[in-house]
Amino acid sequence: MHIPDGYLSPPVMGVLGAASLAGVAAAARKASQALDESRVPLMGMAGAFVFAAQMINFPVAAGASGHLLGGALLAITLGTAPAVVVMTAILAIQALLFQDGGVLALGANVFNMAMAGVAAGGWAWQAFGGPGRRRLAAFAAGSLSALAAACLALAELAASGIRIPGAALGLALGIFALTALLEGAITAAVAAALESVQPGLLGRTHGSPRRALSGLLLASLLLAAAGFLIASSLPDGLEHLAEAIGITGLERAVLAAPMPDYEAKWLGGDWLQKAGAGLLGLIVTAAVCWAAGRWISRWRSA
Amino acid sequence: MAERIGGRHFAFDEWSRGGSWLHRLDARWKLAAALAALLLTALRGEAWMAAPLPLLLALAARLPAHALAWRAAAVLPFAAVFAGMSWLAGDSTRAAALLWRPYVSALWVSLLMAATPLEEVLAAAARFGAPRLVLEVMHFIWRYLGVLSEQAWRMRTAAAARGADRSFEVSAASLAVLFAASYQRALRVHRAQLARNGGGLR
Repeated sequence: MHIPDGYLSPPVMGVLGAASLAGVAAAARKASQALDESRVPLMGMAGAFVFAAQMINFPVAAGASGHLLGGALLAITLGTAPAVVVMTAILAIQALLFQDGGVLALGANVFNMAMAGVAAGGWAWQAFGGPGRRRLAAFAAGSLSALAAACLALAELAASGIRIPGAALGLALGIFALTALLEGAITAAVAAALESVQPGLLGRTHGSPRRALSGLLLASLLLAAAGFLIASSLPDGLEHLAEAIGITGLERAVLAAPMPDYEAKWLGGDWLQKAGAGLLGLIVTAAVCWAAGRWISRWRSA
Repeated sequence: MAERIGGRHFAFDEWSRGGSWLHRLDARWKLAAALAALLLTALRGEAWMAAPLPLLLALAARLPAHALAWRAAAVLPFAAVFAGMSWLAGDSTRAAALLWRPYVSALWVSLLMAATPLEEVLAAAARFGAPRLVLEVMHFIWRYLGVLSEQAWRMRTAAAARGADRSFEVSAASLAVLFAASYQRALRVHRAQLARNGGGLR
C-alpha cells in the first residue's frame, strides 16, 4: 500500500520522515560493512528482480492472482540491513518514475515497507529458522512483513485524520490478512525453490522454534490488537485520549502562526490533536512490541 | 496486477533527454523547486489553482503535456477509494482534496522526471545529503529493470508455451531461477565494472 502525496498530515509526515532518514542511514552504514564491494551490483540487481517479479502471476482461487511484494524475500537472501536499503531504493524509484506512492510521503512508505516490513520479515526468519523449519520461517517472514506494512499504513492514514468507516475498515483488514497469507505462501514457495536451484543464497538462521513461535504469536497479536484499536477508535476515541493527556492546550500554541488556513480547509480543526494522539498510539504500539521482543529474547536465552 | 513492464514505463528516459530551457536548468534547482511545489500542494488549500502550471511548463519545455497528465492519473484509483469514503461520510471538501492533492503532486513529480535525467536527479539528491548507497542502488535498479523484466516476460511466455501456466509451483520456480540468474548477473557486472576501472554514479 503506497501512500500518495497529500494524504498525511504534516506531523505524521515529519516524524516518519525523520525516523526513515535515520533508519536508512544506519542501514546503509551497516550494509556497507556487511557486504563486500560487489554490494551495489548485488543490491541493485535484487531491486530490479523485485520489479521484474511483479510480472509473474501467482494464481490463487477463482481466477484471482497475486504477485511477490519482496520485502521478506530480500531480508532472507541479502540480510536485513541491505534489504532495507534495496527496498528504500525500490520505493524511491516507484515514487519518482511510476507515480506509485508520493515523494513527500516517501518517508512514511519507507518506514512501513522498507523498515518495519523488512525488519519484521528478517526477525521472523531468524526467530523461526532452524533445521527443518525454513519453509515455515519463510512463510512467517512473508506474512508478517506484509501485515506490518499494511497495518502501519492504515494507522498512519487514520492518524492523519482520514475517515475510514467501520465496514471499510473490516474489509481492509480482511484484504490485508489475505494479502499477508499470499505473500507468506509466495515467499515460502520461492525460498524453497531457491534452495533447490542454488543452495547458499538464503541467509543463515538459527532459531529455537517452539519458544520463538509462542513469542511471535504473542507479539503479532499485540501488534494487531493495538493497530486495530488505533485505527477503529479514530476519529472520536482519540479526542478523548488527547484531552486526557493534555495535547489540546499544546495544539493552539503550535498552530497559531505557521499555517493559519491549513487546518480548517484540510482537516477540519483539530488535526494536530488527532495526529498527536494517533502518533502517541503508534509509539505505544512500538514500545509494547519492543518490550515483548526484549522479554522474548531474555526468555529464550534463559 | 501483473502488467508487462516495458516501453511506456521508460518514456521518462526519452523525454528527459530533450534540450529545452527547462532541461538545461541545474538539476538541484529543479529538485528544490519540485519539493517546494509538493510542499505547497500538501499544505495550502488553494494550491489546486496551480494545477495547470506544471502542464504549461511542460508545454513551454516542448514536453507532451497530455502524456504527463495521463501518467499522473496513475494515483487516481487509490485516491478515489479514500475520496469516496470521505464523500460517503459527508465530507465533500475533504473528498475533493483527497483527489486533487495526489494528482497535482504527481503532475509536479512527472514534470521533474520528464525534464531531468534520473542520474542528474540522483546527483542532485546526493548534493542535498541523501544516502549515497541508496542512490547508487536506485541508479542500478533503473539500469537493469528493463533487462530483468524482459527475462521475466520470456520465462512467462516459455512456461505458457510448455502448458505449465497458472500454477503456484511453476511461478515459484520461475522466480527462483530468475533470482539466481540475477545474482550471477550481478557478480558478472561487478567483474566487468572492475575491469573497466569502476563505474556507477559520479
